[in-house]
Amino acid sequence: MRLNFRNSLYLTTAGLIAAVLLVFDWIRVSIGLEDPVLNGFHSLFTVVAFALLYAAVRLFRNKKSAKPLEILRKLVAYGFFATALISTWGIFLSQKGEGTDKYVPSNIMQLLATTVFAFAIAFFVIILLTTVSDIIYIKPERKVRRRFELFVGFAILASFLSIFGRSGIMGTLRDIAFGIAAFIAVLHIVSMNWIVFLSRKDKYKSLVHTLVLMALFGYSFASTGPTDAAGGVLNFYSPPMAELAQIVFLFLAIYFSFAFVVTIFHIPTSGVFEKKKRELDSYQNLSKVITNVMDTSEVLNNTVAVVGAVTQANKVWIELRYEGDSPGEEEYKVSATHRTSQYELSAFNFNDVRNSVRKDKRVIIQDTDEFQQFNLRGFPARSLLAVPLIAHDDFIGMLYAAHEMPYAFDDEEISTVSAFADTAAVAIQNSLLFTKSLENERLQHELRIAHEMQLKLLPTSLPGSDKFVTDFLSFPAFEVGGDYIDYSRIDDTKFAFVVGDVSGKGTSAAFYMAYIKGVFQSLSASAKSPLEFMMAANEAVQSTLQKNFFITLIYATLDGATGEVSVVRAGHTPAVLVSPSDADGRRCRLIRPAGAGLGLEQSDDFGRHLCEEKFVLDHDDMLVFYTDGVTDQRNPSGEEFGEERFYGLLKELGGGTPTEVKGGIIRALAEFSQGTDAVDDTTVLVLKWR
Amino acid sequence: MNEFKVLTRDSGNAVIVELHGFLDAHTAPELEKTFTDLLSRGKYKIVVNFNSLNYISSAGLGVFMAYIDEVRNNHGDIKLASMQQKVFNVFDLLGFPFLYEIYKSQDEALNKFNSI
Repeated sequence: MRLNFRNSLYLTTAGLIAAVLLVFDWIRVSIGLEDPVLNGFHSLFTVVAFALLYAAVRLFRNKKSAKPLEILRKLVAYGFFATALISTWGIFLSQKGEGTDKYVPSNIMQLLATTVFAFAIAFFVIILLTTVSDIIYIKPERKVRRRFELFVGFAILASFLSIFGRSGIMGTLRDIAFGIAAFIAVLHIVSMNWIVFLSRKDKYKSLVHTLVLMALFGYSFASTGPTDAAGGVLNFYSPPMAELAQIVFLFLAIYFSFAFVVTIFHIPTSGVFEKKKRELDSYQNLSKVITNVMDTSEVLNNTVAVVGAVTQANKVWIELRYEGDSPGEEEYKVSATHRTSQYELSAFNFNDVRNSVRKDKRVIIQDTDEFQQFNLRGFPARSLLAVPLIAHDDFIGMLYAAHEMPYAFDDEEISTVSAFADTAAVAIQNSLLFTKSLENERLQHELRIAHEMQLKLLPTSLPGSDKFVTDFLSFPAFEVGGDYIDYSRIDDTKFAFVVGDVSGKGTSAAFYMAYIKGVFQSLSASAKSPLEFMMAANEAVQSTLQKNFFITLIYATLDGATGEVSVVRAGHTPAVLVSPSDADGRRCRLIRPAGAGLGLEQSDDFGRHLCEEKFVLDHDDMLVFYTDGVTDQRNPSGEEFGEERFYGLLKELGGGTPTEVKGGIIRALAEFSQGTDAVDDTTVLVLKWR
Repeated sequence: MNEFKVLTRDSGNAVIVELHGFLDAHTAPELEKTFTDLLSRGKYKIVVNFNSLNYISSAGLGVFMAYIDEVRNNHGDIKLASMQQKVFNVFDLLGFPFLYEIYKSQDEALNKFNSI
């Protein structure tokens, strides 16, 4: 408690009034003055003093909300003090007084004692009233608050009216106000909300407290009536104060009698209430845990544990739905269990339950024979509840709860589990998305590494001499590709060049491409002829390649001294020989010896079909190898770059160096595509004979 | 882009598979499914009519290779018929004429089956 200016002002004023009244009383007692008007003024001043006391106490009050039982304990303490005061000091004083039917103090000391007693009782009445308002205002509806204020209003009215005595019209009015206050006190029985929220243990404690309070205030009420001993003392000093004390004691006695009875009635439902509270706590707990956690398995495990705790189910588990490889295919995987195991569940097929849940939102099996309808004969439970996990309209899985008792899931429990499922579903999906984005990031990283690795598989430059120059370009359409370009030196003057294309794109193509590099590097040097190389390559590829994959290669040897070229082709796009011509600048010849793609045919057939084309390069001849990524490049209107355009371009560029040709091709493709992404890897090799 | 469509119909002891539109990596699974179904029904004499097929990619070519061994082991064949020039060029470049019988018309291919 702390004193500030306002409440010390109130208290000082109240004290001054009390001092003035003491002097007045002394005069009154000494000369035996009994004037109703003077007594009325006296009472009025006492009321003002008490009002100031009330204002001061209100300011002292601790506004913190307390638990009902703490308030009850306080009330018992105050009530005990008040009752003790009444039954000792009050009775003691009344016996010392003079007068037969009315108490009158006989000397100044008694008068002082009477004043102090009256103020002490007033203080306790005020304290009790404010404390009981704390308990009434726990979880109040507006009605309750208003009703209590109405009670206080009528109590004050009755006590004010008592200034005018107990007889006549004013007496009747007072009786009416008193009656209404008592009636309102009874009405409070319907709004004892605080009792409902007590745990079973606290309800037993509340029973004891309310019983004690009932006794204390019943006694206080009975001994403060106008004709009672202590009541006479109070009435001498201030009839309105005595009146207010009476009404408040009556109210408290009634209130706690009813509280006692209401508590008794609420004891049987404590179990239900405690369960609800537990559900609510768990629900809050779950929400807190799962909104902060990004680890999917932690979210799943928390969910099954909480549902297990709330429903007392014997087994709880979650299965998540996964999309299969082909559209429409789906797979369910048990992802979290509580008091059961994946092993135990793997013996049963929940397909029928799933189908029902997707149709009817939930499945409730209430007894053993119903399990057969869902093909779950022998499942070790007698009740089963299955609800869907739906997040943002996505069906992501199912939550199951099973119980060994039949009819274990009532409506309330079902709606609780459904609510859990809804919350959990969102959290599960969030964590899955989070994991997926982590995974994506990891994959991107891996792809970057793969991309760098693949770049290392490609040559940094191709060979050249004073007789010939080369250059090349190779762009994968994605991070990793299936195009291959390479060369090797066969002997002092002879070189082998290769350009290839693995069907399909992306990672699997990249692996085959790496494999082909191995084949080329190991075979090209030892092969006696291009034909022999290609036969060996087909042999190597045949055994490793998937059936619906194939590899196309074009392979050429060049004699660096003579310009002799020998080309074999395994299903690949033809080589283009661009030569100067007298008439219209340059002419184009396609080098397209027969040959099937690698992996298409067995060795015998492959060899039988394979042909070799030989020719000698002349001055200013240009030989070009390419993959279909060049000709398949499309523009925004879906038109292909095409062979004709490409060959035309080569004729145009044919006079330049290989590097100039390469630049020209890149420019032409960029101009044509106008930003349309390449769908296939693009590779071009340019060789120019000087 | 042209949508891809596969139509199948029986003709004598053979089955005609009619392709429409674009056959690439995205639409290839549909054709794979058709072949799987035919083979599971014991249909091994297959004529593929390419008349309405406008484009084929390497993934599309892969489908034919995936089933040819099984078909031939069961004394059947996949015969290809009435290709547009552009589509034929793709098959030709890769050496498919070495492996598959390719006919100008569907009837020609069917006759081949019926004459055996």
